[in-house]
Amino acid sequence: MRVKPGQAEERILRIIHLCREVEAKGFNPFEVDVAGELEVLRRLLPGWVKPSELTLDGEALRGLARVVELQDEWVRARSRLRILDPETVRERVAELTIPQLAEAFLKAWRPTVKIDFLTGERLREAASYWVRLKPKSRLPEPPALKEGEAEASGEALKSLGLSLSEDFRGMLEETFRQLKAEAERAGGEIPYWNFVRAGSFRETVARAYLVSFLATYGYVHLSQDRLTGELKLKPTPETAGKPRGEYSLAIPLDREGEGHG
Amino acid sequence: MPSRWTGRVKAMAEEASYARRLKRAAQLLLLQRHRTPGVKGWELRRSLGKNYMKIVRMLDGELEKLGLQVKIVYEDSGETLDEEARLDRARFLVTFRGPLPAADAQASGWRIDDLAALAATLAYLASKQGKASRSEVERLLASKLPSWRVSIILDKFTRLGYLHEDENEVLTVGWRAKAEVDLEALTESLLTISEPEVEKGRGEA
Repeated sequence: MRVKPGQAEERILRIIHLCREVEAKGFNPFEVDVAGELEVLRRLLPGWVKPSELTLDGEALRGLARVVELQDEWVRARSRLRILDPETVRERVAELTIPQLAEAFLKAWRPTVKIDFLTGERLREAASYWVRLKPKSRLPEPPALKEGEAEASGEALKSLGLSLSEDFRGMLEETFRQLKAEAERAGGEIPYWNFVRAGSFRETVARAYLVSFLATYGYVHLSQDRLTGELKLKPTPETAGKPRGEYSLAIPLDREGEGHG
Repeated sequence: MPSRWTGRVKAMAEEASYARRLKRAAQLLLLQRHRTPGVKGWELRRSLGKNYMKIVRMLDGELEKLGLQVKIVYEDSGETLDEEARLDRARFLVTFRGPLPAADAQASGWRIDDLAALAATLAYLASKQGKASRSEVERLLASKLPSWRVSIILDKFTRLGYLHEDENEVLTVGWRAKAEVDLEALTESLLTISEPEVEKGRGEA
C-alpha cells in the first residue's frame, strides 16, 4: 500500500503525539495498540529518504518503546497494589473505623527526620527584636467596645442553646435543610431576614449564628443588593464544605426584630 | 619515584576527604534550612562535588544502623531528563526506615482522624493511578468525617506537601507522601487490617 508523503508524516506525528499524551497525562498505556503502530512504522519506513523523516521515525519508535516501558510499570504497580480499584478503597474506607484507618496509615508511615537549630545570626536577630520591644505597661489599651456591642463568649452562646459539639453539627444540618426547602419554595433564594427572623430575639441571634457558619463553609451564598441593601440567601450545595474566605460581612441585630444591614 | 609511601598518603587523604564530605552530607540533609525539609540534588552537588551520589549512598549505609534512610523524591516536571538532571532537581531527605512505634506515633501530635483521612485519601489516589478530582476525595472522606472538616483537612494535607492540587482541582500524591508513605504497605494493611489487630495495636501502645 502506498501512502502519500504528507499523509505519512501526519500519521507518524499522530503516533508521537499519542505516546507523549499517554506519558504526560497518565492514561492507561494499554490503550495504545503498540503492535499496530509498529506495523504502520514498518510499512512507512521504505518511503523515508530525508534525514528529517528518519528522525521522525526514530522519535515515534522511541515513543512506542516508552509506552511499552509504561505498560510494564503499570502491570507491576497493579500487581503490587493487588489490583486495588477505587471501588475496593471506598468499600474498605466504609467498613473500617477511624482508629483502624489510622492504624493502617501508621504501618506505612516513615516520617521525615529533621533537626531544628539556632544560628548565631538568628540569635542576634532575636536579641535585637527583644531590645526593641516596648515594655508591656506601655502597650496601648485595646479599643473599648461601643455602646451596645459585646463579644460573644462561650457562656453567651450556651445561653442561646448553642455549643460547638456534635449536636451543633446536627443543628447546622437542620438549618441548612430548612433553608434549602424555603429557598426552593421561593424560587431559589430567600431574603436573609425572612429566614433569620424568629419568634424571639434569642432565637433570631441563634439562627443568625448558624447561618453565618453555613455561609463561611460554603453551604450558602449571602449576597447584598447594592441599591436597596437587601440581603439574600441562596443555598449552594455544590460548594458545601469549601470554606469561603474572600470577605466578611457584619450584620448588626437589634431587639426590634431586624438588623440594620 | 612514586613510592608505596606516596600511595598510602594519597589513600589517607582520600579517606579523610570522604569522611569530611559524609559529615557535611549528614548536616545538609538533617538540619532544616528551608521551610520544607531536605535539600535539592544540585545543592548537594555544589557542596559535596560531582560524585555526591557516592557520598549519599555511604550516608544511607551509616543511617541504616540507626533505623533511618536517605529518601530521594523525584520532581514530576513532565520533561524527559537524563538521570543527572533528574537527581539535580530531586529532593533528598532523611526518613525512618521502618514503621513508627505506636507510642511515638501517639506523641507525634497528629489527630487520629487526620491520620485516618490521609490513609483513605492516599489509598484512593493510589487506586486511581495517582490522581483524582478533589470532589471525589471529598465525597469519600465525608462518609467518615463531618463534611465541614473534610475541606479543612484536605487543605492542611496540601499545605504540608502530602497532597498536590492543581488549578483544575485535581489532587495528586504530594512530594512528602512520596517520601514518607510506603503506598504498597498502606494498601496492604488497608486490605488486611481487622478488628482484633487494632485492639492488639492499642494494647501495645
